[in-house]
Amino acid sequence: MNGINLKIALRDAKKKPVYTAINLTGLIVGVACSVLIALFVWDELKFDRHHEHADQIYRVVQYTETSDNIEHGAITPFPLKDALLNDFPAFIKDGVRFFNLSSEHVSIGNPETNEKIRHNSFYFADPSLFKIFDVELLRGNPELALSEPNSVIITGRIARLYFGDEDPVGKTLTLEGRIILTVTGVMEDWDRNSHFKPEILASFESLRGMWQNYDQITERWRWNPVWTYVLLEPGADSRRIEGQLQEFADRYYSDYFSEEERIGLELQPLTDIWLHSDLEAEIGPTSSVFTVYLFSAVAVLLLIIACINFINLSTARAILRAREVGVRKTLGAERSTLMKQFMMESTIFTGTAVLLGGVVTVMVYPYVSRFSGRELLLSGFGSAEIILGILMLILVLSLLSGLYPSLFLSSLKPIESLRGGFSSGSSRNLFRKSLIVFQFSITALLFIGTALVYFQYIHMQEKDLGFNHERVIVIPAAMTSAIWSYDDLKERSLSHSGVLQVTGSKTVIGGEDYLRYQITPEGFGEQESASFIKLFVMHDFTETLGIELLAGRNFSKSFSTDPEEALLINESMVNHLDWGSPEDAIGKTFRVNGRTMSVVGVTRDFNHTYLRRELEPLVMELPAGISELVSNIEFLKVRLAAGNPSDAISHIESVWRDVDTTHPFDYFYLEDKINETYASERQLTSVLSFFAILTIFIGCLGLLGLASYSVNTRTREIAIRKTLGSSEMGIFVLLSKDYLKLVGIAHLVALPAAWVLASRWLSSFPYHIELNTYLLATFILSLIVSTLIALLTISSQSLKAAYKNPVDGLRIE
Amino acid sequence: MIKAENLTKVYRTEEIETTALNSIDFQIESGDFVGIMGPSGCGKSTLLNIMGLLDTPTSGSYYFLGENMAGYSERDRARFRKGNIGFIFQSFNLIEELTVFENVELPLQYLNVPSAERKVRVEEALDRMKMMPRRNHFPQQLSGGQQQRVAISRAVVTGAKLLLADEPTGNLDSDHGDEVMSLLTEQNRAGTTIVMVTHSPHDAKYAKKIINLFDGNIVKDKEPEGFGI
Repeated sequence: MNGINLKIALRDAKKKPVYTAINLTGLIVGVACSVLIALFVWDELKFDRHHEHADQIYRVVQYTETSDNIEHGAITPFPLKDALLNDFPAFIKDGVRFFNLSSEHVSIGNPETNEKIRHNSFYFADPSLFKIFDVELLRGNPELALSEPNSVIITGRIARLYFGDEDPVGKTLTLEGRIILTVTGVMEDWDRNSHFKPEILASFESLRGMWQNYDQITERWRWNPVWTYVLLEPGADSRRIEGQLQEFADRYYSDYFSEEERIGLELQPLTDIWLHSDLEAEIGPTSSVFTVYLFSAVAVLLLIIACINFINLSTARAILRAREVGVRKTLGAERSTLMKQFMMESTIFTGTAVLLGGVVTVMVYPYVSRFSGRELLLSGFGSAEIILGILMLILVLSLLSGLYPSLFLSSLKPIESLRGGFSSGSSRNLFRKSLIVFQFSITALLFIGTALVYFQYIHMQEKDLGFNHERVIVIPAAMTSAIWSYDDLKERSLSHSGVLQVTGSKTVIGGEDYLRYQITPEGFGEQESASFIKLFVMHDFTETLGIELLAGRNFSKSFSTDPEEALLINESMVNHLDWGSPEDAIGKTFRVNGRTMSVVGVTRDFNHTYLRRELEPLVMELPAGISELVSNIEFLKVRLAAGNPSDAISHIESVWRDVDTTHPFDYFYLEDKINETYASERQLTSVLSFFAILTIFIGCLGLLGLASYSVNTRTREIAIRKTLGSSEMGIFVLLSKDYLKLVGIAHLVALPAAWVLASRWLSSFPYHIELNTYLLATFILSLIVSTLIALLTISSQSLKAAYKNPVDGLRIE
Repeated sequence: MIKAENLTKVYRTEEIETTALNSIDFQIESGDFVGIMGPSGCGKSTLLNIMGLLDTPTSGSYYFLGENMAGYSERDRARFRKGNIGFIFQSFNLIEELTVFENVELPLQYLNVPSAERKVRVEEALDRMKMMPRRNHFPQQLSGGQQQRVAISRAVVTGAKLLLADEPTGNLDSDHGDEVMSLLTEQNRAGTTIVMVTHSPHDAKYAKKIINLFDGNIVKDKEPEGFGI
């Protein structure tokens, strides 16, 4: 029986190539995209799970709670690890700290070749690293590799970079041009699914030789520059430990913090970091579980839309297959036999689609990997897993797409079917129409969503940030000699006509970084303090970035006491403290670090951090003295003249080489960096547009199929109408309006869902587009585009029917 | 073989009630060749459907092989139908996706006849209808007469005791029509009971007995003219 059913299915598919192609293409595209998405989601979920003790490893998160704010950070003080091991011996087995000199880039050199390269994958680490994380040493002894001062382990890539094919063990590298580190081991590359991937790890003990007051520094609880990871004892309950952490924190931190600040600690599971963590000072970039949910939803919806095509086309075709059902029933076929036959047909269809979809996936995934910047691995799966996955997918898809048509077709009454008088019935039509509405609702939702994300992205890109970021280059200069020779470097750089202004600051500006300090404004009591964002800047900061001054003056060399006494504040600070006009704020004072400092100028508000954060009151201060300068100025900013900048940049580079022989010259454009900040929105726009186009494509395939069958089954009606005098246009409108009505209904269904989702998404942006206006605009846009596409899709069929000779139609009966 | 008592079939829509068969009685013996005649809408097809267990009467009794089928469910009727009743339609109703051989084989598959036996029986049926040379053709590659011969093969391959033919020559020219009627007669001579709905007085001559229907009533049973051809 199965053999003959298989034959029928295959011959039927061959006989109706358009129907087969529509059904198969929709399913293949749906399957291929869903598999790719599943690979991506799988890849996301796998992060940090490769460590044997992944479930027992936690990162210690520290939060600071003040009266009006609570901030969670990934970084902790030096002594925390040992204190935890000491106080929780029954629960915590071991711990490891990572420290990167509080700098994004560290200069590592080969003393033999004098080649120096900046790395952002350098850390100091405790030797316990090997007991916690599964890091294999390809060369060297894990017991000793990070025990001795000035020892360093590197990955194979770094080894090749500095030493070529030579054995790196025993060779030396320089850190910041002055510390000699001896290579004691070569580690394998950290798994690409790790939330951070160190390539150069120096022993923590090396710091002892670098810092004269090492013991003092490493006993401070106020400074929190290290990432601390702990390995719990098997079976230890992290929540039980967390229950005791407040008392622990109070005991150790209270001496270092004021009454208004309360420090707390939490344990964050290692496997949560990649998808669920968005803390201050993350050790590396993290992803978001929102993306995983969004992509998973899209994958499921794509498959459902493709299955709906199958359901709709199969039930629409029932009219044409009714006679077959009737014959089979008269020949003795029972309903269950027919159900099996139709289920088998859907299984053959979906099976073919899954296999071809798999082929398409294998063919396109290298391009997708390249396009998305994410290497998706198919090789990570065993053949048993792949086969099981394929079978599961076939099973789910055949049930999803085959069950309703099978139930429907097998339920047809033999007499009506044989008589050919069978009609698909109004309730079935309603069901089919509901499915089309569902399909187009999803399409509309994606279309509207894509448009809104795009408009929000443009809104952020085009928003006036309050400063001019064009033709400004940023030079990372933390801990370089260039900072020590700042004045010299500035003066010599400005001697080039292509260099207009030079300044420096603690952060890049317009990015994610900012620092909050305890600052007491005038009028606050002795014990009162408030937490404000403070930015260390150099002279000419506002001029270089084109920040408008509303009142008072800029920092000036003419006022030698400015570094100790002068502050610039922004307009928001004036409003926040209710100081009246910017002019009124001039001369007001703040207590900063024990010094009383006066406001000399008020700037117009500018977005000193990215647009995902609301603009806050800001204090700007010059570093007082060389030690404040060295520790607080990390980025130089240079405004270049219009025209070709390469000559000016070469000039700055040659000055840099003169003043700093240790660090290579490096720079980037401020504009690029700011654009990069919004890369996730840009990526979301492109991904959503891609999926929106796909759903429209699959939806239209279904529409095309349905329109074609609708025309076939209404041939006689069309002929009668034409005989009675209907025009071609009348027929075209008759056949098109039903589908266009469905597209309209689908949009109305999608609208509330779009509103809820968009308002939730936009609420995470302090600066966002006005929802209702943009929603209405995108709704109308989507409606027009969908209507046009739908009209275009069905017009080939409607027009064919409209121009057909009515005699042919009447002859059918 | 068949006995109908007070057989009534009423079709109801929301507003209209149509009586297709109005309390009719008749009996058909094993080995009969019965023609059912009457104008369009007189209830011929309704009667054939009830006799073929495709439909149920609204009231009255319908006995087939001694059992009253009136209360049987669709599933039970389907089981009773297969192997006992063969159908021949005006429009042949062959499955286009299957070859001649496969079409004839289909009812045997529903009866779970083993593959080897199926082959023998199908070939035998096709041979009798002189369709063996066309066994691998698809229906659309055959003439109307040939298609109807395949349909007869399919109806008789199970050894059905009753053949129901609904206007079997309606779509054929007179030569092919006569050929089909001869085959049915042959089948009847071999012992199969045949009930045939027809409009054609010519075809009706092949029947041994005629039931004339008019507005759901049997006008009178009569023997056809020229009986014994």
